[in-house]
Formats: sequence, structure tokens, C-alpha cells
Amino acid sequence: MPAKIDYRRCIGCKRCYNLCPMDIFTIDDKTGLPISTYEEECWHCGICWMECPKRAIDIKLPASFW
Amino acid sequence: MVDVAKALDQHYEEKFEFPLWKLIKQRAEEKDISYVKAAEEVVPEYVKTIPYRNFAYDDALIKSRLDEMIQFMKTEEQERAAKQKARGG
Amino acid sequence: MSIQRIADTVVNTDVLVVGGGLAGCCAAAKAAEHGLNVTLLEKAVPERSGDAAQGIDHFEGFFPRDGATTLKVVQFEEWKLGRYGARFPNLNLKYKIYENCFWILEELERFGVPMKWDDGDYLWMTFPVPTWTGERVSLRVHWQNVKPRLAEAVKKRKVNVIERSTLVDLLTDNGRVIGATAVNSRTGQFIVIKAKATILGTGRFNRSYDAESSAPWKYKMNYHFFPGSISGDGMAAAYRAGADLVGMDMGGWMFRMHDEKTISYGNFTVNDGIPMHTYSWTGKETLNPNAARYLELEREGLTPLYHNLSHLPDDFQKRMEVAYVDERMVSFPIAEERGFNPRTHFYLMMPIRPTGFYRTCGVNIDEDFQSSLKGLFAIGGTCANMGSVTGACGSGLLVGDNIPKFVNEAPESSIDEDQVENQKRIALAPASEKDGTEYLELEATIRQLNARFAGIEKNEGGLREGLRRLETLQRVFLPRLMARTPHYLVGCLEVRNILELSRIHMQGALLRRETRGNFLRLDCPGLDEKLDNKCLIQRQKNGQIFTEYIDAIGLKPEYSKGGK
Repeated sequence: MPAKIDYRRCIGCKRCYNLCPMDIFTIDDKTGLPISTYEEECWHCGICWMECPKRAIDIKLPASFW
Repeated sequence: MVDVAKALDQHYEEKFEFPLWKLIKQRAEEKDISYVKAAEEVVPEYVKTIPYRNFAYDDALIKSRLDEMIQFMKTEEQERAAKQKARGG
Repeated sequence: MSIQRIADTVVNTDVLVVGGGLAGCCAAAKAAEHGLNVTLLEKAVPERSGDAAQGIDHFEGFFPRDGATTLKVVQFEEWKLGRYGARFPNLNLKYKIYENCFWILEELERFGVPMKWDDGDYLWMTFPVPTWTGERVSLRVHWQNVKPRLAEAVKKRKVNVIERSTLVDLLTDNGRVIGATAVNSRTGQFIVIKAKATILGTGRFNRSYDAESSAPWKYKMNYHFFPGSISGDGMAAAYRAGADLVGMDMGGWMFRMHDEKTISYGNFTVNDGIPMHTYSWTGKETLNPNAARYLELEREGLTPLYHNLSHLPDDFQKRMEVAYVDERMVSFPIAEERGFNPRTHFYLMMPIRPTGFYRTCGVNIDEDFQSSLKGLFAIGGTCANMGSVTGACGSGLLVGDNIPKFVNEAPESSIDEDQVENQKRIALAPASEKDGTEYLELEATIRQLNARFAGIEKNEGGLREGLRRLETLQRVFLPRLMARTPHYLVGCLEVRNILELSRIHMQGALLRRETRGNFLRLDCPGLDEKLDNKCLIQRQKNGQIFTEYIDAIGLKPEYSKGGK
């Protein structure tokens, strides 16, 4: 699956939202935290995963990439 | 000939950890920082353990591999020509 | 000006740079150093956008200040391209970059992009080819964070960066390019930018062939070595404005996608200098084949083929790890998840098929990097002759450095309100479309058509069929595109460009009745000598298409004698 956010670690810094080259994240109105919204456009570049200061993002390859 | 088939049977069954990645993860967890920040610290240290500037050594390895490839190309060409001849070409 | 009524934002600038990748950031930062007012239009954010978003590990074309070596590398480039069959339209542009390579290195260092290693010196690598005689012509760099550094350099120089905004079209006044329109993908706001000089740095043309994901229109942006955001926007906009495109017939870049979609191109096939081994599934060794040879091996029953790196000594395996970090760190968790050991693994080599357009194709430019339209420049992957990290940084810096002359000479111009209204309508129409077509579905359809009719093996019937279908899609489905949120407006603009450039490719391929390099016409298996050294120009004006073959421009006599 593309970028999966672990909300136990996420601090809402929005770095993933601010950097994603495909802009797949949006910010949840209520929580102020990022959500992977346009996930069909994720190409697993890993930028959100490597830039997250809390290492809260997991990148797993979908079956279609195996 | 290389036993590709045998090697392929072990496809994707190895549990392998990249040594550099292990170090980066450790640093990230120790300091509670992003992977990219951890890499910024760890990679320069790792680079020091690699003889990047031993050009004579590099060149010898590259040359030997290239010589191997050139020899291989010649052999393949000879084999192809022989096949062509056998086919009555 | 009543443009204010039509647009949400109006910008007046000296230089508009479209695209904040390596080329665009270099051009913008350099132009700003000359005291010009510079605007950078970027689809995402310059910190992590374009081909270098995840990082870069090396680039070609930097060597001792020695004209003879420069010449040798240009000749090497020609040889490489010869295998593909396509020509660089103007080899002198390549030479210009290589000639200035040390200036380029110093400028980048000044921008805060590290070129030298911690021990204070550059590290040169070889680029091994059968004719290799020891030259180290490739610069090894630790550029995982090249984009954040360049973005900082751009912002420090007070460039006005318009982020999360995608190019719609170029604005013209009497055939001269005077700016562009854009749409913000988060707010849906329509932007008009008036500029004395416009520089296109939008990268290559990609996303016209099937991606690595087989999932039906999901995760379709994954291409090895081509980032998902690259869709030929600048090339298509230039064409629509009336600029010449070159080489779009042969430009289909062949690339073997490895089944381990973990390895970045740079480190895998180059391996810091030592070529890999290639084997048939039978165990018989072979050499890394080009398209024609792959097909031969396939017919002999010798495919699938596998690459192997077991021969690399331990410190070269370590170098590969460092290269992973420099170019694509996500390779680590993905590789570990898939459970293979890079030291022993046999990497499945996928058949060669076209994946994108690169290097010998794009906007045709003169030696000032100006297109056939006054006021419009193209750099990096957007223009022919460049592409590659070296070309991107080099062309960006050269154009940025020389742009003041063109800005000063730019005449007064006025924006055509009708042009703006039309572009706005095109950009925003999908927002009002209900029950329309999702852009990804249309894109997936275009990709299938390209794969089927403009794949590695072409013929006249297939190309004609493909063109008929693309033209139908353009007529029927572009107007039906739907964007449920402003985010999808970008995809709608992108698919419009992908469709246009796919048509241009098929039209060009139809004209080329021969087989040359990786351009395979099943119905025309021979080489047409009349097309030796020829490049195809395609342009449109008022709906009419013009095509002509021009001579590829070889090196000037003073260069071919061994440089200055």
C-alpha cells in the first residue's frame, strides 16, 4: 500500500503534505493531521517516508508492483 | 554456465538486511529523527570505510571485466558466424 | 487591465521559469543574480520535485579541462545515440555544456549544492564502454538533498516561487511568447503571468506508456526512473503555441524495467564502473542486449534474462548502498520487504519497451536555447540535446546567465484577453463537469493505445489506427473530463498534454518509413539512407500541421579539431 501514516507517531508537522511531489495528502479539518487522500496517484517515491521527523510513515509495495 | 535456475528457486526467500540501512535506522531511532537526517550523518562515516580513491584498484577491476566482455563478444560473434555457415548462409 | 477580472492572480515579471526541477531552479537562481524579477512556476514544491526529487548519485560530462577529452565524450554520446538510431539535432549544444562544465560545478557549489566530497576534492568515475581507455568522465555526488539545497538557493535570491500550480498554456502576442497561464491545484485559482522571457524547464515527456503497475488505473504513476509528475507539459504547451518540436518520432526511450523496482537506474547498471553479468534462464551468459538483440534472443527461446552482481567485491557492494541513499533511499525497505540479497540475486530483466521521451527530442532550440518562437526558451529535458543531470543544470545556468540580454530586448506586449479566457475555460471546465470522465481512466486508455500501436514494433496500419483512436479520444473525451476537486484539475491538464504528444509521436513515426536503431517498423525493415543524420520537425499553426526533416548539426570545425 502507498504511504500509510501511523497516527500514534504523527505530530501533525505537515512535512509530508508540504513536500509530496504528487500532492496526495490533504489535511483533516477536525484533527489537523494529514490523510493519504489521492492514493491512486502515489508512486512510492518514499519522500514522505524519509522526510517524516517521527518516522511515522510506512511504505509497502502493493501487489501490482511485485 | 551459471546455475540460474537453482538460484531462482531461492528467489525472495532470503532475509537480507543492508548494512548501511541498518546503521541509518539505528541512528534515526537513537536520535528520534527522520531517515533523511539520519542518512546525512551516517553516510559520510560509511563513505570513509570505502576506498573510493584507490583508482588503480578500480581501474584494474573495470579493465578485467571489460576485457572479459570484449572476449565474450568475439566468441559470440564467432559462434554466430559458424551457425550462419552451418545454415548454408 | 481587465485581465484582473478574468484571473484570480496576475503576475508581471521579467523572467518566468516553468518547472522547478534541476534545470528550472538553476535558471531561476542564476537569472535572479542578475537583478531580474524572476517567477518560478512549480507543479509541486521545488524542495522535492522533478527527476531529482529523491536524489541523484552521479552525472556525466565533467572531466579535466581538456578539449580533447571533451571531444571524446561528445563522440561517445554520438556513439551511444547511434545505437538508438536517433541523432542529437545539434551536437554543439552538448559541447557547450561540457565546455562550461567547471563553471557549472563552481556555480552549483556557490548555490550550496555540495559537489566536492568531505576530503575536499571531486570524485570522478568511469563510464565503462568497450572503447574505454581509462577516462573518468562521470562525477559522483551525494545529492540526496540536492533539491532542498537548490530550492533554498532559489528562495534566498528572492525568486517569486508559485508552488502547487500547473502550467495551462503559453500566452502569445504576434507569435512572440509573452507569458503563461496556470492553475493552483489546491485552490483552483487561475493565474496569469506576463513575462518578457519564458523558460520551459518542465522535464521530459512521460506517462504515455504503461507504467509498472498492472492495477487498473491505480498506482499508475510508477515508472522506473521517471517520476510520476512528468507529463511533457512544457513540450505540449510549446507545440500548441506554434513552436517547433524535434525528434518526437524516434524519441521513444527504451528502458528495461527491472522486476526489482527498487533499484535506481544510476547505481544499478553503472555499479560505480563495473558492468554486471547477464544470463539467460538457461544459465548461458549473454551481453546486455539492445531491443533488436533482445527480440532475437526471445525468438531463440533464451529469455527471460537475468542480471547478476555476484562478481562485485565487497566494497563495491557498499558503494551501491551509498548510491541507493544518494538516489532513492526507499529502495532499502522495499528490497528488504521483497527478501532478496543484492549480492546474490538474479534480477529479472524485463523486455525492452518504450517508456518515455528523452534526450534527442523535445522543443527544438538554437544555440541560445531559444525555441522557434521569440521569447520562449527551453532547458533540461524539455528541449532536445539536453536531458540528463548535466544537461539540466548546465542549460539552466547558461540560460539564466544570458537571459538579461533577451529581457532587455523584449518589446512591449499586450495580453490577448480572448486567449486568457479560452485558457481559463479549458483549465477550469472539468470542475463543472458532473458524471464526466476521470482523467486517470483517459490516461490509462491512451497508454494502452500507445503500447498497442506505438510500441517497440510499429507498422503503418497500427499507427493509423492508433491515431484515429487518439483523435477520437481528444474530440470526445477531453471535453468530458471531470475534476471533483481542484487537485484533479492538474491531471486533466496533464492528460491533455499526454494525448497531444502521443499523437505527435504517432504522426512522426508514420512518416519515418524505415528501421533504424531502436525504431522498428515491421513494414519497413530496411534503413533509408536518405534519413541518415536527419531529424524530424513538427509544428502546428492555426490547426495546420507542418513537418520537415532537417539535418542534424554536427560539431563546428573548431570543436572537432579537439577543442580550444
